[in-house]
Amino acid sequence: MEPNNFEKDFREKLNNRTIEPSDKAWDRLDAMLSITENKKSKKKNKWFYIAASFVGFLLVGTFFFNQKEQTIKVPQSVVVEDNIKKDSVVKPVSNSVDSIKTVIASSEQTSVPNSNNKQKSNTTLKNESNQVAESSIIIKNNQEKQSIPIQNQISKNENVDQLLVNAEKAVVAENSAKQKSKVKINADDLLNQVDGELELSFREKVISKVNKNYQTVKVALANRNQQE
Amino acid sequence: MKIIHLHQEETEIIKLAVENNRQAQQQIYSRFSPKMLSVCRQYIKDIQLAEDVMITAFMKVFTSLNKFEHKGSFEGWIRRIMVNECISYLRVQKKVKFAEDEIYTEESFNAIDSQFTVEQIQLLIDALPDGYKMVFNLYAIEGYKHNEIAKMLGINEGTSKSQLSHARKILQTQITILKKQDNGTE
Repeated sequence: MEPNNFEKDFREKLNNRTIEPSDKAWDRLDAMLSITENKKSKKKNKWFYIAASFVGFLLVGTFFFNQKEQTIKVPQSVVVEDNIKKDSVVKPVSNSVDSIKTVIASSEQTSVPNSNNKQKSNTTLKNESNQVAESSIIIKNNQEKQSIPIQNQISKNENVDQLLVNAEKAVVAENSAKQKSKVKINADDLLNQVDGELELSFREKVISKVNKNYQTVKVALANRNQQE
Repeated sequence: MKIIHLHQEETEIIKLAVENNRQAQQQIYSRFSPKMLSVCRQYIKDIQLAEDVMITAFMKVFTSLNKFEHKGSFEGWIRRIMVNECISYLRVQKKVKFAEDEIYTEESFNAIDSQFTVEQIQLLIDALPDGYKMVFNLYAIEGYKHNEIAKMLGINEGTSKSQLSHARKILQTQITILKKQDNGTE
């Protein structure tokens, strides 16, 4: 399948041929080139716009996500506040406990001096009794009589203090126990109960709606059958 | 030295044309457009349509000028773009169908020694059906091989060969008729 002679001749003659294009041809090409250049610049602008919009979306997205985090944080802060409140509620109690303790301590301290006084009084009384050993029994009796009421008084004081302390301790213990139980209820049970109630209400709504629709459809079908 | 100088000049003009220098683009256009219009005219009978195709092909030349590696000849590169544009135009516009008969004869036409003018040759080629014309132009004039033509046109190599043999037969008969006419007039 070698090129034939006439084909060689064809080739030579056709390759040497030149046809001058019309004068308008270059103008058209020029116009087309300028259009494509404009398009290219527009495309570049488009890309710029696309990039800008992408960046904008990113910014908006990040803003919204941050907002979400903030909204999440808000309940957390509320919870924290609640905790603080609880703490504030508890803390005074603890403070009161402390104060009570201090009171107890002070009372103990006061009771100790009382006992010291009492011992001292006893010793003084004993000394007196020793000193006045030879004195009359009446005096002794009086002394004993005197000492007995004093001791009684002291013991009474002691008993009152102890009772007060015990009572306060019991009250504090009861209060703390009650508060703890209250906190537990607030955290879990109440919320769960509320959620459960909400869900139940929604379920009930859905069920009631479905039932209503079902009933209407049922009635319509029944009526249609009867009509037919 | 002149050739080297010309080559340097060409590369500089191409560089400028890549940067959308309109003067450089016009220089390239005015240098190659007459030859390229001739190439397009081989494939497309209507000179106005051939010019349209040439302009769109030149658009492709300038838009893909940055892809031109300064290895082969610049004219050859432009010519390939022209030929491809003509083929795609014919395929889109006229929906050329190639009869895939794959029957071809290897006859020699060496006996025929044509003494035709370019216009006569063009008329002979114009008379060919588009499918034959395309394969004949690509094979005989552009010098593509059958496997290359098959790839370009999306046909089998055998179809390309059969199209060429059909084109040659038609041309042979036409040439003999013309010669007889010439002899008759002379």
